[in-house]
Amino acid sequence: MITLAVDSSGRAAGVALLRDNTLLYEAYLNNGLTHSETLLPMVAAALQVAGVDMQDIGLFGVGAGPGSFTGLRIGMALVKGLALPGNLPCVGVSSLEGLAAGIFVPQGSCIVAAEDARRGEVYAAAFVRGQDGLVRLCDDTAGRPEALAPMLLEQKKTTFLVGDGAEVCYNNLKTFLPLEVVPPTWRLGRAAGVALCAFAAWQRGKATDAAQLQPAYHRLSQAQRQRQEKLKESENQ
Amino acid sequence: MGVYHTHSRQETEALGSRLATELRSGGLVAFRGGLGAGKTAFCAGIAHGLGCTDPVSSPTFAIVNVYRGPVTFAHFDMYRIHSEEDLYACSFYDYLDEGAAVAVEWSENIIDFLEPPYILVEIERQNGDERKITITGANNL
Repeated sequence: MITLAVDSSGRAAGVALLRDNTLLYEAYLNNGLTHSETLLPMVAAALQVAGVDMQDIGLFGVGAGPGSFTGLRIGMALVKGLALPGNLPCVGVSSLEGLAAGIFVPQGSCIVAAEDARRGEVYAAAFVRGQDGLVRLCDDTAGRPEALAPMLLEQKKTTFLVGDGAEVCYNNLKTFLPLEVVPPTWRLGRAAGVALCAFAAWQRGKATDAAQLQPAYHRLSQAQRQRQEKLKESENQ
Repeated sequence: MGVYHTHSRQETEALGSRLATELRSGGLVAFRGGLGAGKTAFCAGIAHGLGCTDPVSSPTFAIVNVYRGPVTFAHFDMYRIHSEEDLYACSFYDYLDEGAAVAVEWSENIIDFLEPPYILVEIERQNGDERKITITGANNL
């Protein structure tokens, strides 16, 4: 079973091919070019050099957000278009879960995958690496990083920070617990992480068809909602 | 802060062109000023100063016009944008993240979501074609 995964939810574009759990090919592009121009040629290159035909693909994975609005639409549209003719199964992978699955940490460590949501807030999810892989500690959330501190303290483990929100998390959490920021080269989203999550989800029977594939654009935090409600109130007065 | 008086559309554009030197590696310019104040003329000057050759027009209906050049110039009109969700969905953050020069007309509507540093341009109509233009946050104008 071959999985083709793409990730365009963040600054870097990525394409990966898996044969079952084995990574056949991975590409990562972080040169600031628009994903709409690079992602399809990257898929074509992946298939060509890996000697894989489009007919061989059995599953599609895509980074489904949270992430850049335009980026998510590019990845979603591409995967929907590729999956539709053969009515092939698709998995929209949480971009945060994809981030966490794309790096290696020692067993027993925690990972916080975080994307910058601006003004000191992040989209984040926490995981612990158990014997059989990653175990999720919380749903994807939006808010200030400090909110994660009690849960992480309870784990009493070193926490690795990944994603473009890693530095915001580090600056706001370093007084509470021991942290390691993943170096820049491995910090952004990788399609291999998305591919592994997609394959695992498919094995659990969680794949959908192209039509049901949905992006998770943006989750407003409670604080942001309250601020907007206040703004509306003051406008109405 | 600098206060400038222009007496024609050409002079307003010329001031915009001068401000473009601050936007060569991207950045954000927020405009205040009502209908017909000259915001679009000022943006035409920015586009010219950046070396963008696409024609500049008001993005009132499109919400954003993008002009190609050595630096991408994204020209927004936030008249119909009121929430952060709207801001996200009109690709405002995407252009900022890719390092474009971004100009925002009707910035009043999104002022709570703007993060410093940004350049603020306030245009006030005086007599006839005369404009009083107050620019805050520009380093070398």
